[in-house]
Parts: sequence; structure tokens; C-alpha cells
Amino acid sequence: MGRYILKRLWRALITLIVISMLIFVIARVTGDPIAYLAPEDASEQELAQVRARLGLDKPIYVQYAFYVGDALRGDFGNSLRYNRPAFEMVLQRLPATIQLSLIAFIVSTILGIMMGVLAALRRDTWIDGALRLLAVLGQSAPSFWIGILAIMIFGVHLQWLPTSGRMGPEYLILPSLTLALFSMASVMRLTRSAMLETQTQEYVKFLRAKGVPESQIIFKHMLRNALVPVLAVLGIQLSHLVGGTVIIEIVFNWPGVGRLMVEALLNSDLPLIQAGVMLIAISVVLVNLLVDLSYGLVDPRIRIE
Amino acid sequence: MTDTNAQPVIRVEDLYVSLRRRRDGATIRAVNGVNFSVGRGRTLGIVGESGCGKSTAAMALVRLLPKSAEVRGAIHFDGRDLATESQGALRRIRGRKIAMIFQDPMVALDPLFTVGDQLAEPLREHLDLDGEALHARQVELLQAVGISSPETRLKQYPHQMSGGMLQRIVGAIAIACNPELLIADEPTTALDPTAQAGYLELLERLSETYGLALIVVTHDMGVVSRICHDVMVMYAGQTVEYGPVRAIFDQPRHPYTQALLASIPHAVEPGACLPTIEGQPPDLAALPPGCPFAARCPKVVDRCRTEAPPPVEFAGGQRALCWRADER
Amino acid sequence: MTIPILEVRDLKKYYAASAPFFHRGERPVVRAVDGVSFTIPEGETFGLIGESGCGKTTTVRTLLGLEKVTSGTIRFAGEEVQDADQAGWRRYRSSVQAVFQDPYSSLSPRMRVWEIIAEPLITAGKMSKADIKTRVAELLEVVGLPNDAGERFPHEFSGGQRQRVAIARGLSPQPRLLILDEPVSALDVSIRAQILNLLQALQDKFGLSYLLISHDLDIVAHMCRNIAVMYLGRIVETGTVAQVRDNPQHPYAQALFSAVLPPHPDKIKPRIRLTGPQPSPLNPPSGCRFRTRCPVVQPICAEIEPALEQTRAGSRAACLFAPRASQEEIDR
Repeated sequence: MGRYILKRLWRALITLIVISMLIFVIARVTGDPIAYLAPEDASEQELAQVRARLGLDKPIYVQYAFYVGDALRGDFGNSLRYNRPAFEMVLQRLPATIQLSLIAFIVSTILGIMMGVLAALRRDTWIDGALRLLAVLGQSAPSFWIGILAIMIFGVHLQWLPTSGRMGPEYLILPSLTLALFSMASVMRLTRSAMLETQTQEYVKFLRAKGVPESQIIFKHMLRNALVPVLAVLGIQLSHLVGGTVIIEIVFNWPGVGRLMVEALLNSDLPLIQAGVMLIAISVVLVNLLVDLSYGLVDPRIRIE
Repeated sequence: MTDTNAQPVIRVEDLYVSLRRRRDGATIRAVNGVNFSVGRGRTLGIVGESGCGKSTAAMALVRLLPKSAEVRGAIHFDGRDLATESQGALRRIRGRKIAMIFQDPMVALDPLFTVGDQLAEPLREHLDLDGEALHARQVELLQAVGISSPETRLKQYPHQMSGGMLQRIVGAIAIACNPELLIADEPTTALDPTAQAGYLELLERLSETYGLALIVVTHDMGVVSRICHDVMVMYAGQTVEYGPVRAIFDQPRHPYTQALLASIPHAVEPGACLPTIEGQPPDLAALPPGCPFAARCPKVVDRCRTEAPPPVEFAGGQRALCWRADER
Repeated sequence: MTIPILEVRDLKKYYAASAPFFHRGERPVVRAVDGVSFTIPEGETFGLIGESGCGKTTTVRTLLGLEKVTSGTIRFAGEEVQDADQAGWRRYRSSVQAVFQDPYSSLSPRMRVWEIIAEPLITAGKMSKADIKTRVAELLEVVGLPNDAGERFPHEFSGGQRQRVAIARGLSPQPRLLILDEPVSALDVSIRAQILNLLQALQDKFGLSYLLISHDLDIVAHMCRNIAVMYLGRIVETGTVAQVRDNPQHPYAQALFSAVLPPHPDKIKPRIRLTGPQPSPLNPPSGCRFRTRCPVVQPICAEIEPALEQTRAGSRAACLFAPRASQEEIDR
């Protein structure tokens, strides 16, 4: 297990380094930063001074080292538009996004697994059919459309729930459920097929032959085995969720990083984009790491080499 | 029947099983009037080709069958008729009085739980063992099947063990609650020759040591000749021949048994043409009148196609379902 | 002396195992096949036997080019093929075809039978459409399938018939060697006999050579002239069926054949039991690879790696204690 953890940590670190490089490189190729940092009528000499001050005259790897050093201290520079530290601005918005995606993650995982188990146990009945239809809808309908539909039904027509902003917990319900839908559908479909797969395993037959009660066979043995492949995709699901927040935050006017990023993109606010992408990447990598480690808890074949 | 035990452990009379075929909803007559019994320490081989109903007949004893299955007949075991018992009552018999093992011991255990955990399940469920008593019994069982350092093994997972070890663990789970009957369904089909021989020896030893009645379902005449006392040859859901293993190997009476024995490569000169059975078994959803083997039988006469043959009894308890069984 | 159809010399196939984390030095190596030599004379059947993990499947995979040879030579009809150029290799691969255990998974479920059989011919691209149709019809007849079988899909057939389709496909590029990897293991006894008979008949008709892999020793004995017993990546004994089966000299071969199920209850023989697990090919024992499970092991077995030597019984065995043939016996 120790080796497994070490390997995962190592991989997470590499991922972060690669992401930081990508962000760095993309920032460089999108244009000469001097062009918008220096006054338009600056002379060559003044430009050189600005370059020297910012370290832009140094070789690229030295620049990268500076960039990493700054980033480690949380310094991504100031937002071009708001002239406030970009890192701080993103950090301020981060809790809202984490809250939204985490709740969507939990909801989609728990509901997805429960529905998947139910569909597998009631295979080929109307329950199975209804759940599968829901899954297909959840995976094929675009989330902005679902979101607008939800606003129209629950917000405008029924007036049950608020549809915009982030005040009380009730403000979370529509955006998080809309966000969860796609992921829930994937988890459900995967759980269903994994459960059906385990049903045909020899050890399930042997458990019945041992006289183990059916409930114990289903919830102790089959479910745990079915969770192994489900766990493997949870990390991917989470990345989808975080990506999905951008649209959901706009549709529901949710004050998170996603909306901030869209604004930053529209304004070509490079430092803000860099800080945002880096922080989102770090949180995704961290959660993925947690999912990977929990994999080892469920499956002894990974825990024990 | 042939053995000296007056009271067999299990006695099956006129067993019929029908199943619903998923593909087209047709009713399959998987087992059609089967009779047999097994005594203490005796081994019965149920042999036949795929789809002949051998596994269905064996699994019908404890009703481990698809939901659509209908079982008729009498299954006398332990003073009651299992054919009339509820699923709940049968669950309490499974693993306790009647144990079962299946094809490949490598996949018989849940990979996510320890060996000890899976050995404890029947002991907890059926015998209410717990704590010290449970642990002592676990150790005792592993020792009984010849596993050294049982304490360590109990804490290990299936993937940490060799095939031979898993065979013995499955054996230990089967005998955990001192059953009276052990059903082995194709126990060696997926195994290498030495693993196969080892597994059969283990089954034989368990049956002898604990006086188990043993039913071995197989398609392999070699398995039958190796460990069985009696053999039941099935074709299209019927027992076409039944009797002591020597009698059947020495003098098979039914043309199907004769053909099965003849098609083993051992029976002919190397490289020579092997005798075959042409054609296919009949569709169990539309059994023909008369003898189900008639279409493929080399000795078929007109009567076979219209009238079902009666069982013909021979000395020593051998019987065959054939109009021409007593011809030589 | 005629040129044998297949001559394998000192074939090795090593795999790099996954290295431990932060591992220094050489990566561990799995020696799946470690110096295997055998020869198949034209028109004969050669049997390769041994238990799971002995390397017989890897041997087949290297012969089919599914794995790259680590070292050693494969000579087909006198021509070295392991390093052949693309054209040479393509020529070789159309002359060597394979039939596997499970005809269901080796036949594409979405193709009609005639497409499956014609596929190698279409790929070769040398025949006209009409010629291909004729050839497929011919092949269907040769393997004993009805003429209309070509229009149907694999799932419409029984196991035995599917194996006939697989054989027809194997035959379609007119190979000279057919590799039969557990060809009848998935079939019922009566069907098994039909397929074995068919294979024999095809061999007589077309002068085919076979390499047969099976764990059913009865079938190997029935079909083969010469056999080789493999253990942990090596051949431990080889000779004619009569020599190796009836009078095996290597303790592993003895144990293996003693495990064969008796044809009659009166012929149950005591079995030679092997103790302990099969060692990993990652780290095979020093000296003789069988020594950790050998019932007659001696201290010297850990030091000397025995080579295949002519035994007095006629076979060649890799055991220090197998009675060797004297020089005169070898000359004779």
C-alpha cells in the first residue's frame, strides 16, 4: 500500500508540474506581455527596462523558475482589469465553486449508485426502464438547457426555489442538481452494468450455495465489487463537474470561479485566468488523489502487492 | 440402490424441471422424470453433454435455479421433501446440510474479502458461531483440508493464494457445517491435469472421511471412472442409463452411453478415426415423441420414433431406457 | 533428408516486468519462453503440452508474430522468418494459420460466415470476386458445413459448427502449417470426436502439418506423432508419443502423465504428487527449474542446469538422473 500511495502522490505532483508548464507556455505564446504592460508610445529603451524589471530578458527556463517561485507564494500578479491580486480574487470565489461542485459530486455519486443498484436488481421491469430513460436524458441533454428548464419550472412557474445568486442553502438546490444530473446518469449506468456483471460471477453462485442471505450477497459482496469500477471513474466525473460549473454558474448567476473565469476570458485578463486555472487544477488533482487512495481501501488487490 | 446402505442420504423420484427460455419465452423441459439416490460415503456421477439437464437436475435439489424454473417430483432428504419446501427453508439447508462447489476454485471466492471472512459466513449463518468458537472452527477446518499455518491464511485474500490452496479452501467452506450431501458441479472442467487430479482426490477424501454423499456433475467419463461408484447418464433431460460404474464401463446398454465411451480417444488406435455421434441433441422446447435419442441412434428402429422406451432393469441395479437395451 | 516445415531453435521470449517504484538497476524480466527448440516434419502433428504458465501459449504467440522474439530462430520450410522483411513475413503468415479454443470469441459476430472465411483472401487481394465465392463454397464443403452456411452469422451455429467455420477460415489462404490451440476444449465429447476426425482428414487430404496445444493429454496422444512437455518456459522432455507417454523419464513428465484420468475404473493408477506451488518465471529456481517440486531432487540439481539428453528409453529429457543412452544406443 505504501508503494501505491507513493506512486499516486508522485503522479499528482507530475500532473501539477505539467499543468503549470502548460499555463506558463500558453501565457507566453498568446503574445508578448510587454505589449499591454508598457505604454503604447514607449521607446525601445523603456521596453528593455520593463523587460529587465519583469525578468523577461532572461532565458525561458529562468522565467519559468521565477513564475513557479511566485506561484508557490500565491503571486500570479494583479488582475489587469481590477488591479487586485489575481490569486486573492480567485481564492475569494473558490468556496462557492467548491460548495457547488462538492454537493453535486456527493448527490450524483450517492443517487447514481442507489439508482444503479435498483435498476440492476429490477432488471427489465418498468423501474429499470424508467431509470435508464432518465440516464439517457441526463447524459444527452445539455446542462444549460436543463438549467433554464429548471428555472422556468421551479423558479418562474411554481415559484418553489430561488434561481439566481447565492444566499441561503435553498439557493444551492437547483444549480447543484442541474450540475449533478450528467454525472449521476453516468454513475448510474456504470453501477447498473457493474452490478449485472457481478451477478454472473462464480463467487455469487458460491455464496448462494453457502446459504448466505440474499440481502447480504447484494449489499456486502455484489455492491462492493460493483463499486470498484465505479470508483475508478469518480475522479473523471469530478473533472467533468468542475468543468460543468462554468455554465451552471452563468445560468444561475452563481458567484464562483467559473463565472469569474468567463469574465476574465472576455477581458483577456491573463493573470486572473492563470490563477484560476491553476487553483482549479490543484483542487481537481487533490480530489482525484483522494479517490485513488480510497480505491486501495476497497480493493485488497491494490492494497496488498 | 446398489449399495449396502438401507437409508440413502438423498432419494429423488420423478424429478421434472421446466424453465422459460429467455430468447423466445418457450418452455424448456430441462429435466424429464429423473430418479436416483445416493448413500453415505457414496459418489454418484451425473454425466452428459451440455444441455442434457445434468446441472439443472443437481441444482434443482436445492432449487438454485432461475426464477422461471418449475420443479415437480419428490426429493427426499433429511426426513422431508425438498421439492415442497420454501426458498427460505432451502436457504437454511444450503451450505449446512447440502454443500455445493462449482467449476473453478480460482473464481469461487469474492476477491475483496479475506478467506477467513468467507469461511466464517456459513458458520455464522447456520451454526451461530462467534468469537473464539468461530475462530477455533475456522482453524480446525483449514487443518482438515491440509492447509499449514491456518492463522495466517485466514487473514489472506484469494489473490494471495495458489490454485491448489484455493481448491482446499473451497473444500473447507463446503464441509464447514458438516453437510450430509456435497454436490460438485463440473468441478474440474477448467483445470490443468494435475490440478484436476488433486481436486478429485480432495473430494474423494472428504467424502470418505466425513461419510458425505457426493454428487459429481461432469461431462468427462474420466472423472466418472476416477471417483464415482454409480453413474447416471443423461440425454435430453432423461436418465438414459443408470448403474454401478463398473457395469456401465464394462457393458454399457444404451447406445448413447456406448457412443460416449467409444468417442474417448483412449478407446481407439492413435490416429485412427474416432466413432462419433452425428447430428444434434433435440430442442428441449419441442421434444419429439418416442426416444429423444432416436434421431442420432445407430440402432434405431421404427418403434423408437413413436413410443417412449420403458426402463429395462439388469442385474446389479443397472437400468437403461432403450427398446433394444437387452440386445447385445 | 527433407526440409522440416517448422524448425524452432533456442527460442526465447522475455518480458520486462513492471519495476518496483524507485527501483534501481536492471528491470526484472519474466522468462516466459526460455530456450525452446523443436522441429515439425512436413505433414506431421507435433504436440506441445504442459500446464498453465508453462510458456506454450507464449510460444504460439511468437510463432504467429503476435509477440516479438527475444532471441532464437524460427525457420519455416528452411527459411528464417523471425527477422524477415515485410514481404517475407507476410508470405510466412499466410502459410501459418491458427485455430483457437473458443470459436465464439475468435469469430467476428457481425460478419457473415462467408465474409469471415473470405477475409484472408480479400486482404491478399489476388483473387477475383467470383474466384473467392468458389473458394469459400469449396472450403465450406471441405469442413462439412452446408452450402447455405455462408450467409449466416456465427451465433446461429452450435459450438462444433463454429469450430468448423474457424477451421475453414484457417484453411482459406492455403496454409501449410495450422496451429491448433486447444481446438476442442470447449466442445462436448461427441462433437470433439467429429472435429478431431475432420482435422485428421484434412491433414491427409492437403498434407497439412499441425502444431497442437492441449491440456487434454488423451487428445494429444491420439493426434500427435511427436510431443514435447514444457515446464516453466523450457522443454523438459520430448520424443514420440509412445516414448513420452508410456515411459516418461523426466519426473515432471511422469507426474503429468500420472494425473491423466483413467479410461476405466479398473485402471486407476497411483498419482505422483507435486508439492508446493509452481515458481514464478520472474525468478526461476537455479539449476533445474523443476527442482523445487521434484520428488527425487538432489542437492546437485540446484547447481547444474540439465540439458535435453538422449535417454535410454528413447526420448530426450532434461534431467540429471534420467538414465542416459550409451553412445552405441545413440548411434543405433
